[in-house]
Amino acid sequence: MKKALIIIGITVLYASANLGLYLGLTQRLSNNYSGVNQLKMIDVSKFLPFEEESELARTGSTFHIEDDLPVLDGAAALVPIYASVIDQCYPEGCVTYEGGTFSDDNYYGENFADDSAMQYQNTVRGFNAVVDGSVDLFFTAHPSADQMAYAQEQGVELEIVPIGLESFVFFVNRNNPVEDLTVDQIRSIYRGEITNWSEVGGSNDVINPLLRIQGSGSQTMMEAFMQNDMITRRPMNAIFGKSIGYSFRYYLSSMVANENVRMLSVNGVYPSAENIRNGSYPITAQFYVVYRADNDNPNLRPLVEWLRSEEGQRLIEGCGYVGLPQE
Amino acid sequence: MSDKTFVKIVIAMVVIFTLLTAFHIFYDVYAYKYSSIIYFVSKEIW
Repeated sequence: MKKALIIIGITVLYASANLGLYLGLTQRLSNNYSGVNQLKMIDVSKFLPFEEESELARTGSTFHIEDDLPVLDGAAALVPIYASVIDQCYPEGCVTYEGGTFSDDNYYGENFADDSAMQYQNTVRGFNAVVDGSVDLFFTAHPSADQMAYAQEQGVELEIVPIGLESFVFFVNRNNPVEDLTVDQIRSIYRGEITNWSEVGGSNDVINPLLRIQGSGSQTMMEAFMQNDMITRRPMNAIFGKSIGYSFRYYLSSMVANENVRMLSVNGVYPSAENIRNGSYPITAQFYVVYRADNDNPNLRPLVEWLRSEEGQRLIEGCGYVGLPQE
Repeated sequence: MSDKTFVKIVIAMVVIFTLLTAFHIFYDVYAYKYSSIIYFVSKEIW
């Protein structure tokens, strides 16, 4: 009987430890390449050009391309824009979507045929594709220093042209009582100077300042916001603390809408479309198209000019972003 | 069950359970690095 109790005790001990680990951590981890998060990155099938039910901005265009179609690619958050551009300016039938099956070569589970005018490889691989010449025009936040260094190593000169505005937002769990942080508080959190939510009016919990992968659009933006002075690793003791993360507003509020996550006001201003438009939200950045300076596709530069025209800017606003200030 | 058999069973259990727990921890360390931060925040327990 005593031996049986010992065996049961050992089993219960290990089971409890693993159950606690699962509830506290494992169940919150969804790898960017796993099935659950495949849906969370972006469901490209909702943004396919020429499909009636696609969630695209159909604001009209007098600019149409019939041949020499520039191949477009971009960051996840900008898929609606370049898909809308193809829908409005390209000939029907130029996009071949082959569905989304996850594989080692297709981290985002979204496949387009090699000859499709629309591609989706997201920030890191898509940027490299522009440098390597398989993509003509890439929609992105400003390229990171590493990306620019990669282009330089390859001997490729890039043109980087702003086409719109987007705000950068910070978010917490919806149950976190903190609703507003100042720019200085955010910088102190991400420099490891503020480590507990009670220091910014919240609960007595350790702050877990989440980071994105190097080279992603939001990480590049964050490094610029932090003036390249920020932690590079999450503190180990923060793993069971209460988290704060960052992203682009449109990606968080529209593309990966998650009712359990709440955006924070910054300096007392909520990142609403109106507050971005009127300039009161303090962390706003341009987003860009990037192409090789030696790209000789005859339609590439006219397309870039169109994106900055009144029609192009109307399409960008129709996608939920904010257009460039009127010159 | 003899004492010798019992000790063998206990040692085997501890070794197996420790390995499984270690694998669980290694998985968490790896997945923590690459997980979606939005998903991670949304699943936070309050």
